[in-house]
Amino acid sequence: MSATVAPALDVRGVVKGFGAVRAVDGVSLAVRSGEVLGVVGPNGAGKSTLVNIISGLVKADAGEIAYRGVPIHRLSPDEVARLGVARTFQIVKPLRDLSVIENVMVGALFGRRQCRSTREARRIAEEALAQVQLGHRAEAECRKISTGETKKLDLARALAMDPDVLLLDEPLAGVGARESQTLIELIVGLAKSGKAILLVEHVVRVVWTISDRVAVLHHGAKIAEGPPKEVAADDQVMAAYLGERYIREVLQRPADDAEPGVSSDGDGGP
Amino acid sequence: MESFQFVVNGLMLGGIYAIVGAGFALVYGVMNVLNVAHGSFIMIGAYLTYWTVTLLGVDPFVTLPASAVALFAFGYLVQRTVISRVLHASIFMTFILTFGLDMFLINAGLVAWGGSYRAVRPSYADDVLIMGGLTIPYVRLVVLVAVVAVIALLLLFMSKTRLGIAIKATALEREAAQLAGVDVKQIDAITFGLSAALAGVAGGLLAVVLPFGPFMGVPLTGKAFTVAVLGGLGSMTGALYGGFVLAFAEIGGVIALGGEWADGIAFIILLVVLVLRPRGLLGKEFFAEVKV
Ligand SMILES: Nc1ncnc2c1ncn2[C@@H]1O[C@H](COP(=O)(O)OP(=O)(O)O)[C@@H](O)[C@H]1O
Ligand SMILES: [Mg+2]
Repeated sequence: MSATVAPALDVRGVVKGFGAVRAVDGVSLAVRSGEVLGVVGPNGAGKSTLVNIISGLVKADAGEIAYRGVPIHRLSPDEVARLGVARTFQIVKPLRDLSVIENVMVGALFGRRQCRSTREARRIAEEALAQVQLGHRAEAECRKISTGETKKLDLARALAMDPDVLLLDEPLAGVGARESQTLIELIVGLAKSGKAILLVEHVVRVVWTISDRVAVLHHGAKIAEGPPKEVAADDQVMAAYLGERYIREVLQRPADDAEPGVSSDGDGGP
Repeated sequence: MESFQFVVNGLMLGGIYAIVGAGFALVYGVMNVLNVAHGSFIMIGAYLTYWTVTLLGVDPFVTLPASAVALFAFGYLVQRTVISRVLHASIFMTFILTFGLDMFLINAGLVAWGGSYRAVRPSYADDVLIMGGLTIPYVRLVVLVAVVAVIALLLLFMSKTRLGIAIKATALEREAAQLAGVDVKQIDAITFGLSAALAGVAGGLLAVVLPFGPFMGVPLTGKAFTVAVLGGLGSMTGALYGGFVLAFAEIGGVIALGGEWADGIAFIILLVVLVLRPRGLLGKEFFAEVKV
């Protein structure tokens, strides 16, 4: 099987329990290059845990993950990152004592690109910051930028790594309406340029409009997957597993209502 | 004249403390280990300089790059083989382990070189430089230059090189650094090596200005800790400042209170800082980071 046939990211039967909680319960997913796979589900559904497992931060109890046909589930997070899988955080932890551009340079230096010189890394970081429209804040200290800006910073850092696969954990949470629109266009553009994107997002409306396919997680299990229209039309699935209220209040809520900073679910492992 | 001596001595000793403290702080910042054996790395550096000078007849300052390399290798190996095993254990485990390592190194020093005091005396040991009515021992001036060079190199390394940036990133947010592709386990070992190399250089410099023996590291570990706490434990730049603060306080204290206070002053400062300003002069509150 050649690498062009294998999906960019192939997740098979992944299981992860925390004590009695089955955070991820036998999830299988595939994301192809050029495609956005939306992953939705209520708080605690296991979305962040799934991203943690793919990025190597959390080890699954069972299951396999392949990146372009190569198994990665036994690799350390830095090995996964250097192969070309980059992620962003639901709750960003920037390197606080560094400037915005220095944060992004870390991605250029140590991600798949492995820039040899800091000068080259700086150039790439500038490009990545321009992509997320944060170029004007390049020299700002990280502790002084807004929540929305840290989200963009995190995405720029991931882009500077030159990944094939991007795992985006709620990239719009805490980002204002206008900035959200910029990021949405950027995500669509990145997919068009050939990246495989796994998009976890609370703002379900956004997921529905920009995903090629949508997977619904509930209590750790995947309960539906398909093109957005089909999944949305599957009233029974949506109602049974997400609740009528969830559809009314979340699905039909405008995108700019994103709950800034509100997330009861922790992120980033212990 | 006396105040001039005070400044020269303060800068010289401060620079050495800064180098010692920076290495100690780097290890704590990157891997949350308080290295009790740090002082013994200094002691090994002193003996390396001593023996290289004695056996090869070279200038003591020429030995510094070589002992830096040797101690880097030693620190790297110690981290890979021993320290890496306790990184996820409680801070008490790291204490016990590095305490044991310290005992081992001191006793190895006693067995190998005996307990007597030694001193490194370059041919120009008694020369003085006379500048506009001020006399400065030539050796102290060279130590001062070496100290400035080492600190400048360290700062350049940390801000301009790939490896330096990786160390900083790992210290700031280990997980984020790892997810950006930094091989943090490798960085742990390199940081420990760098810390030992800095200690080795400091040992070589101390050997030129003070007599030393296998126990020389014991008070120095305490001083490294004081310096690091002064700077906000885990902050390398903070420790650089802390080194100078401690040195001037010590020298001032000796002038005011007498020589027997020299080593006690560090602990008085440590106590005062911990009570009044636990974040250090500019750093973070360290015990919030301590994993028990
Ligand atoms: N490190 C952890 N320790 C214990 N439980 C965890 C941990 N991480 C996540 N969980 C639990 O796993 C479940 C899934 O959480 P998460 O993946 O964060 O959900 P989501 O991102 O979909 O909101 C939740 O019940 C959460 O409490
Ligand atoms: Mg989440």
